[in-house]
Amino acid sequence: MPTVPFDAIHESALLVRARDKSAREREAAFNEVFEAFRGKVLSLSIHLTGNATDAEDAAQEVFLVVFRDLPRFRGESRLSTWIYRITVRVAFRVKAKHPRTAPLDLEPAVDTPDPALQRERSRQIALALDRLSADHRTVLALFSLDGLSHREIAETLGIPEGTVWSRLHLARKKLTAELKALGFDMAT
Amino acid sequence: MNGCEGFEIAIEMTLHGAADREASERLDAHLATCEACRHFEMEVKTCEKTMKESGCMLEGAFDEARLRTSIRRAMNQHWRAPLVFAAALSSILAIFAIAFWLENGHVAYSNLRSMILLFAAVSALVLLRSIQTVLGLWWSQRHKENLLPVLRRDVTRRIRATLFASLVMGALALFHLALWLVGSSTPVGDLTWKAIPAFLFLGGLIGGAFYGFRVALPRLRRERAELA
Repeated sequence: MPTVPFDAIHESALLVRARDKSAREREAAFNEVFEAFRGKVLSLSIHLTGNATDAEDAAQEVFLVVFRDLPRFRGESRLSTWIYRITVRVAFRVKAKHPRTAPLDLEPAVDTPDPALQRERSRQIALALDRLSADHRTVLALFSLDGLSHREIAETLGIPEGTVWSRLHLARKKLTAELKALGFDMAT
Repeated sequence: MNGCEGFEIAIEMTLHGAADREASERLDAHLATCEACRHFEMEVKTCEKTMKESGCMLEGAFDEARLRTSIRRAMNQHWRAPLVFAAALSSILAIFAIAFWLENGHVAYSNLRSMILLFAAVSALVLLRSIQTVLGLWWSQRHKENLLPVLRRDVTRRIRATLFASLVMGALALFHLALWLVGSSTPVGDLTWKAIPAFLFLGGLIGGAFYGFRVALPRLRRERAELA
């Protein structure tokens, strides 16, 4: 997956194709967007919703909105910013629709390449994230995506850049405290 | 707020490549003397790494083909409401057209009552099928079941219904053309505005059969193949 899905020129060309009269051309443009953002949208959705089922539902809904609205997107912001903004909105809506409590009977994590334990670590991360406020969870999830600058994050969330850093700092402290409470070894 | 908070934010900024050279140098100098900040830096790195790993790991667990299929399926769902609306509207128009046509004596093989019954039966069937699908989807979603088998069954039903409807329309169109050719009942000799519904009806039958065989059925079969 590329670090930056599209550069500005490629993005404008893509938007022209997305507004093309030919349905085939429009679908090809959408497929390109899907390929470039699938992983990031899923990753962001997982961190925001806290479980795979909701994340998949959210990703599906995000791409439907993208497919529907891409021809109308005027390029006032970066395409990535627009898609992440949709993802944040949709993920929280999906999570609100299906409130689930994360599993609490978790074993303390041990740092090992074992897939089962890696899965357990992921569950613990999900559990710890679930205890944070929506704002804190969002900022942490956005920072965990590769290639997303703090400016883009500020634009996605509609907050000043300084607020992004202070929010990230508070969120990180709370997440670290939650992970430690779950028995997570943070010093490795 | 402790005295190191500014440096803690600087650690975050440095980690994400947002700190300038001067700030990085100040941070390095501080880290050399502050155990708490070094510990915090370690925690931030661990936290960041674990979050990335967990996102990537779960992301890899998703079936891309399934996500694509469900998106395509949901896209197709957007077409269904206008399609059903158009079908209902054309059925009503067809009933009126037939009623008008019957008044002018251009139908040799049927009467108004049987035609209305036929359309009512088809409409009821479509309605029942739609209700069945909607209920199936609702039930699956409620019980967190896999939606794919429900959607596959729905597509199979739609294929059968489309095939049946296309065959009936094709047969009726042929029957009409045959009647006109034989000459027992033809609006051709009476080319007034009153004959327009007869042509519209025949055109609708031919168009419907053509659409069913050439457009709707291949699309539905493609959809079923994707859901398989």
